[in-house]
Parts: sequence; structure tokens; C-alpha cells
Amino acid sequence: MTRTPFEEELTQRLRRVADAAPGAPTRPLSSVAGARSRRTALVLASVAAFVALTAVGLAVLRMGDSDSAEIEPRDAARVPVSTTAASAGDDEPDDDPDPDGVSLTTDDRIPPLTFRVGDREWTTEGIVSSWCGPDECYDASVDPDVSSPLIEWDGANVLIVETPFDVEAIGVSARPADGFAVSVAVRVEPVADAPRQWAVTSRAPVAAMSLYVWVAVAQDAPVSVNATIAYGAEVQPSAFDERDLPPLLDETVAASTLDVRACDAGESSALHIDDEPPGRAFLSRPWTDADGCLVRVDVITSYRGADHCDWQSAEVLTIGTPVLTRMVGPGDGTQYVRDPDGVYGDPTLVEGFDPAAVLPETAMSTPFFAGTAQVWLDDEAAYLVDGFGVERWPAGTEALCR
Amino acid sequence: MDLEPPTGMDDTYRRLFAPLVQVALLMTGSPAAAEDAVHDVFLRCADRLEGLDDPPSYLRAAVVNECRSQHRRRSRTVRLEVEPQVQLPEELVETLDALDRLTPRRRAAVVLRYFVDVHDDEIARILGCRPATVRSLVRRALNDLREALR
Repeated sequence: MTRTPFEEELTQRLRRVADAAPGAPTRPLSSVAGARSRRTALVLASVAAFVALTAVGLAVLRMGDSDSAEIEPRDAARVPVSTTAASAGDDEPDDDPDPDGVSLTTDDRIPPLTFRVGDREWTTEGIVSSWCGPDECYDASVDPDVSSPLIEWDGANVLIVETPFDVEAIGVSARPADGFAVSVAVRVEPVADAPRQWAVTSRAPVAAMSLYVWVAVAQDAPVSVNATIAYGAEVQPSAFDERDLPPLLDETVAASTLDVRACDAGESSALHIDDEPPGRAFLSRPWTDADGCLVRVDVITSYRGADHCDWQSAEVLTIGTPVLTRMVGPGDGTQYVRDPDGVYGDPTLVEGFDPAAVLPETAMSTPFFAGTAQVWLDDEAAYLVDGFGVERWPAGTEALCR
Repeated sequence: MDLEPPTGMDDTYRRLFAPLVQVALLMTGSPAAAEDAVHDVFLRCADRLEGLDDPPSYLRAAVVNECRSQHRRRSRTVRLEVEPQVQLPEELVETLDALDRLTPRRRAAVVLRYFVDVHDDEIARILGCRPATVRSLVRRALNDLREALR
């Protein structure tokens, strides 16, 4: 693969930095306890000092034999005051006085949460993201690591979340892969007769996304502590096949989730459809504003490929340029083509189509919706974005069916 | 817990240490943390290496993910840490600073593609995501790096 000059320069920079790495280990492999670097030890000592100084009310979740993990006061002599793994704290002297008699929660001591889809299940460890003790609160300001597990879920099944202990509250949020800042609406409901199980459902097939679960736990005695524990997972759509994905913009979804209607609007408005040109009957889908008001067909329009050429799998979207401009003739709009099967014979259209795209940071939103999906645009493509994914339609032109 | 490595493991450790710690240094920015990561991975994986087809690749993936885990753990104590800086020329400190500003996944994707020179499919396997996501991670990382290094 050809690399740009910047990529070449970056490679050289990385090599020069890597050359600064130690060429040989400074300690034998067999040493472990007590062998952590002095830097790490300093960090741990700093943590201990910080805890002592701020007198934060601290708690520990003990992962014992029981499946009930409640916040309990720790024994200051045994639990390392550290946010790193227990093994890292084994060699850490723990003789600091602990004024509250409780300890910082460590992530390796939290029982794992379980995700279950059908008969498959995955577990993931949690981290404490915030906690409040008797005197003050502390916010770790960190997202859970979503690198593991990679759960397979396509939204057709219910995703069961099983907490390892009773929780005060639970929250589940998701966002499309790679952190695009649109929160995904998933429904979370308690499972009847299963107090630690929660059913997560979606209204549509899911794309790759990050899933976060937050649970709140509390204890009143012997000290009052509230903590939030965060768990993460990454979702891989099960049986993922780009060609088999149902359209993001499913008309049945649009019909069921939006009150699509003609709205009263001034004559110059894009919503004034009384005198719009003919063609609405041929639209592949109704285009609306965020409230479900129909948009004129000369402002945004879309149609499927010609039946007699068997090109129905393709779809062409045309948007007046600039956005909200009424198109009068050719050249007044920009065309975007959804041609996953390549029926138009243009490989750039197939290559440019991405049913699980990432919205570029340069893309701009438009006021146009189809169902719950909003149209975003950049110079190269249109992006249809809903809570479960982003579909990229490259700019281009369809072939003529003769 | 028995932490003594199998016989001969120390030799393997010394042989693979240098290339692995280079990756870890690019991931962590700290020689000490890099050595910690490689050391910990070897201890954890010592009893699994014999049955593997490609131990170096396996260890490299483990080191990358260990560094990401380190980042996660460290990020909760970020206000408390005072890390010694690597003694490097200014240009390379600039490179490390730019890498530091990337998210761990973007950083890993860049290091694996441009330093280790592995294919996107392999990066995806290591990071537990799709190849398309790797391309996106790299693209965004390059944008960030280009901005930081210009």
C-alpha cells in the first residue's frame, strides 16, 4: 500500500523513539513481587498518600465466595491502597493510617458482569467510575475499557445483562463504533422474577458499537458510601454480512416511529409541498424534517433503480445544493448513490458504500430525515445516521437504463 | 500463585525483550512502564507459549493490550502521577507527546500499522474490532498526529 509522505515521516519518527527503548531487561523474568519499577512504586505511594490526605470515604467490593458483593469496610492492613491490580500492590507497604476505616475500591475486586444473548454469554470486569464517602465524592472520569468482551448481538434477540450483585440503579448506553457522539437509545427493563437481570432491546438491527453499563451501589452502614461501577463491551453484529444487512432506512420503521405528514408552511418553505413538482409517488421513501413534516421533492428526493433493468437494489438520493435549495434543473443538486450490489457497474459506487461507516468529523448535519435516520453530508458522500449506525452513500451518478 | 517461569523462558524473554519493549515504549511513552508491561506479559503467558504457532505475534498482541490496560488503570490516577520523561531529542519528545494525546486504541492502531507494520486484519484481531474500524482509527489518529506534529 502506498504511503503518504506524512505516513513515511511518522514511521521514521516511531522508529527513532523505539530506538530509545532499553535493549535488554533490567531484571530477570523470575523476579516479580518487589520487582516493579521504581516509577510504579512511586505512583502507588502517591496514590496511598493522596488517599490519606483527602480522607475520601472509601469502600471495597469484595469478590468472595458469595455471589453477593456488597460494599464493606476494608481491613486496612490487608487491602492495598491502589487502583492497580492486586499483584501490583502486594509489595506495597500499607501502613498509612486510614481515617475512615474503609478503602478504595479496586477494579480487580469487582465481580464481573455477564452479557447473555441466547445461550452465549460473555463476562466483563468493571471499574469504579465514581464514589462518594462520608466526606466527599471522587470522580474517576474514565470510560470502561471496551476492548473486551466482544459480544455478538444483532438486536433481534434480547441482550440480557446480569449484575453480580443487587444494584440501586442501572443505566445502559451505547454509541456507534469509534465513538461517534450520538447516544444510542436502547431500552432497559428488569427481567421479571430475576432481580439481577436486565433485558436490553433495540428497535432495529445494531451496527458495531460500544456498549456501556453503569450500576449504582450503596451502603448505609457502617459508613455511608455510594459508588458507580462502569462496565464496557464492544458489540459485533452477529452473523455480520454487509450484503445481508437490512436497509438502515426501513420504511416500516419510518412509518411506525414517525408521524409523517404534510405540515402547514409558508410558500417559500421547504415544507410547503402544495405546489411541489410531480414525482412524490415515485419517491423511494418519504423525506421529512425532524418533526415528521414532509419536505418538498425538489429540495430532497430519492428513487430506486429502474425495474426493467432489475436495478431496484440501487437508490439515488438527490439534494438541492446548497441544502434547502429548490432544484429546477440538472446541476442544481448533488446526487448520492446507494449501490451495494454494483448494478450500475461503477466500482467506485460499490467501494464508496459502507453500511457500517464512521461519520467523518467534517460531516455536517442536514434537517432531512427518513424515519429516524438523519442525513449528514460532506464533500464526498451522504451519511444516513440513526442511533444504531451510519450508512455512507458516495456522491456519484447512476447509469442509464436502456 | 506460582510465578516461576518454565525452564528456558528467561532466554526467550531476553531474546524477545527488545522488539517487544519497543512496541511497549511507543504505547506507554515510558521505558519503565514498557519494561513492566513486557515483564508482566511474559509471566502471565509463560505457560502458554509452547503450544503457540507464533509466540512473538501472540506476545506482541498481549503487550499491546497490556499497555492499553495499564493506560486504563493509570488514567484513574492521572492526577497523582509524576512520570519521569524519556530522555529524547526534542523532535522525538514531540512525537511521544502527540502519541500521548491519542486514545489508546488509536495509538495502538498507529503503532501496529506504522511501526510493527502488520496488516489491518491482524490489528483488528489484536484490538478486537473490525478491519473497517481499524482503518477509521488510523485515519483519525493520522488527523490528530498531523495536527499535533505540524
